[in-house]
Amino acid sequence: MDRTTENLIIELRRGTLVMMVLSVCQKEEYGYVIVERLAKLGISVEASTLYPLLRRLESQDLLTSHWDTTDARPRKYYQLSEKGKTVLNALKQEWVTMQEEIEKIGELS
Amino acid sequence: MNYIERYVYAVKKHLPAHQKEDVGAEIKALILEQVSEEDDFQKIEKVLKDLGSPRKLAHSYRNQNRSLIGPDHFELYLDVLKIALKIVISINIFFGIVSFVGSLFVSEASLGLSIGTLFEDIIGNTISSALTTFGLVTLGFVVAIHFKWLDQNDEWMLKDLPELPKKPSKAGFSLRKTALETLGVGLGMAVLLIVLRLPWLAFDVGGSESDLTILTPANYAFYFPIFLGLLGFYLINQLIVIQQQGLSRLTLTLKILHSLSVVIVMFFMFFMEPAFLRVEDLTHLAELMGLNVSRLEEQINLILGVFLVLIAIGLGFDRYKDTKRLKKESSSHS
Repeated sequence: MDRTTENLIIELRRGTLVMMVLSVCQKEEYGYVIVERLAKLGISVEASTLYPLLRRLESQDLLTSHWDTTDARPRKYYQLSEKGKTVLNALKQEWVTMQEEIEKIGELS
Repeated sequence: MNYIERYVYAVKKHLPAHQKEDVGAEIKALILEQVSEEDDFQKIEKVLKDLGSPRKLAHSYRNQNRSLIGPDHFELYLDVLKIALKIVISINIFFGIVSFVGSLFVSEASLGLSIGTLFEDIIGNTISSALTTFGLVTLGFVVAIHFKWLDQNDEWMLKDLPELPKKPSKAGFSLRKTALETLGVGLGMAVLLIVLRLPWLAFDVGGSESDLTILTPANYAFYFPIFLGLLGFYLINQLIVIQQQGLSRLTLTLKILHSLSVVIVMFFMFFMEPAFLRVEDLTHLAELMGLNVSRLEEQINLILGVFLVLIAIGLGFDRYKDTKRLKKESSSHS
């Protein structure tokens, strides 16, 4: 695979990363588990990318968070907010539409 | 030792105060999910290396809205900066030349020194003014963006849509450019005639043949090839324009007229009897201006030299602008 293709794929994946993270956060999770769950799905995201992204989504009120200090190791948990649910649904809908459009283009060519 | 704590501390050092504790704790928790201080060095090193340098990791938390002028305002910023720089540079060059011409008649400095000072002044002042302008425009935008003075709503009207660029006409005729060219050629020729023949300096002192430097045959022999070169440059320039843009009857007529005017003026300058300015006239003028004759001669020659250089620069610049414009037009219509 040449470099241009690689870069385009990275860009495409980056564009969908928010949707993937929001999807994973439908259930309350902490950062490390989110990285692992994504990895299991074949989605490789660096922690250094995911953690700032989680914080950004939180600042946009798409995620809520809280610290759990009951364990010896404190962990910050994230979960989809009401606004996040609405946004995730809109993104999913858009994703389906785009997929249909791409298929239509495929049929034309 | 204590690599994890030190790593977290290093990250926190690069974070804003309100993020330090929360982000620091989260990063520490992330690291401790994978490794502990009791683990061997290689394992700790791998985990920390995977996270990247502390500075880079901290910056990834801060990379939003970090640009001084964001993409929303950058085009406007560039436009304003270009206009401001053009104005400042033009003013500097204009006043530099005015002050230079003025100094020719009052300063006792040598010609070389005068020219040196001219370029030094213009370049020095232009660079410092350009830098100041750059700083002020940037600062103005930063303030305006901060206070949201430039924020616009997304409402727009059809009438606000920009006009399509005009297609180059079949013959490439541009009324504005042709008018400017005609004006330029006319003014240039008039100035040359005035400077070289100085009819306004003829104080009717009467008849002997001039032996002034600027009017001697030897001096004409010096200037003639330069004028001929400029004429050749001008004609080649016109041919390139015609070759690039095509030719209409009007453009052709005007270009012939321009070229003819240059030829006629040159003929007038170099082959007619140069009898306007005489030693007596120049002496009179020098007396009026409180200068000696040789000084006045020197300065008139210098003005002529500067004028010739400006014509050459103007022609070169015209060629460059034309080529750039044509490229832009052809790309916008391709």
